[in-house]
Amino acid sequence: MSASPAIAVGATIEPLSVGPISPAQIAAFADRSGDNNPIHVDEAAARRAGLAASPVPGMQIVAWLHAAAARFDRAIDVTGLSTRFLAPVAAGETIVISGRIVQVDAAGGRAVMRLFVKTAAGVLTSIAEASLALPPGQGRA
Amino acid sequence: MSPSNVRIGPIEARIEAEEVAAYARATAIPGLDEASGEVPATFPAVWLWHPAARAAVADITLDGRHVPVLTAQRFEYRAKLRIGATYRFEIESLAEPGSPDSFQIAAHVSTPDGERVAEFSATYRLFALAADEAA
Repeated sequence: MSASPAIAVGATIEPLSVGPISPAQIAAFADRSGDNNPIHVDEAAARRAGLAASPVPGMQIVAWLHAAAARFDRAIDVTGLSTRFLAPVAAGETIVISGRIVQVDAAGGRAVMRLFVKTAAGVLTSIAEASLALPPGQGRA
Repeated sequence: MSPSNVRIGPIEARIEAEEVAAYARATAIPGLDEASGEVPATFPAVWLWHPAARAAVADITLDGRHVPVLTAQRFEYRAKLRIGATYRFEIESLAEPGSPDSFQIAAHVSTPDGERVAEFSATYRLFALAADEAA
């Protein structure tokens, strides 16, 4: 995606689809991150915790949220991300990440993007807010 | 259960290029060529599962009778992490006052001379595990 001349309130990102998220992808992340929580890789453990299936690790979703925000404009820096998880995403599901600029401080070179994670069935699973550092000259309230 | 407050570190860690590459592969989105050569913003997640931090979480989760489920996560950077650089990180595990089923892990990343680079926090809710299913 090319750099936009100005980042304005209401601008949206191109929705990013991830999935179907395979158990192998989850296992690779669990192995690399060191997250040994059994519910992510052992469906029986997930069921013992009351879940229908192994959930995708939250930090893996955060990594994809960051990627979605960063793709908006390569000239910006995503300096912060705050995510709240509302519902688990099960292995095998596909998620779609959408986002919208909700605040721009052109003078301060900052903007805020709100992001949403939904399953392909439309269930909202996470909401997030990304703090963006804008390059000089970008940003329009 | 009542998670107690635990402080771990500071622990020094050097960011190695091959670790970054492996982490980037593990978080890659199939079909997208997003390799930037930079340290992914979520890379410090690997430090949150340092053996000392795992031990503290094992204590909180009563050695496997509960599992932590991530309910919120936040990070904030003041400067980018660099491959080849050494950082210090400190981890705190904090009880949530009035919420015995929740705890928070906070991590601070600094340069060796003490300049703060990034802050992370994660809030978990403890889920009790049911007994093993008979069949």
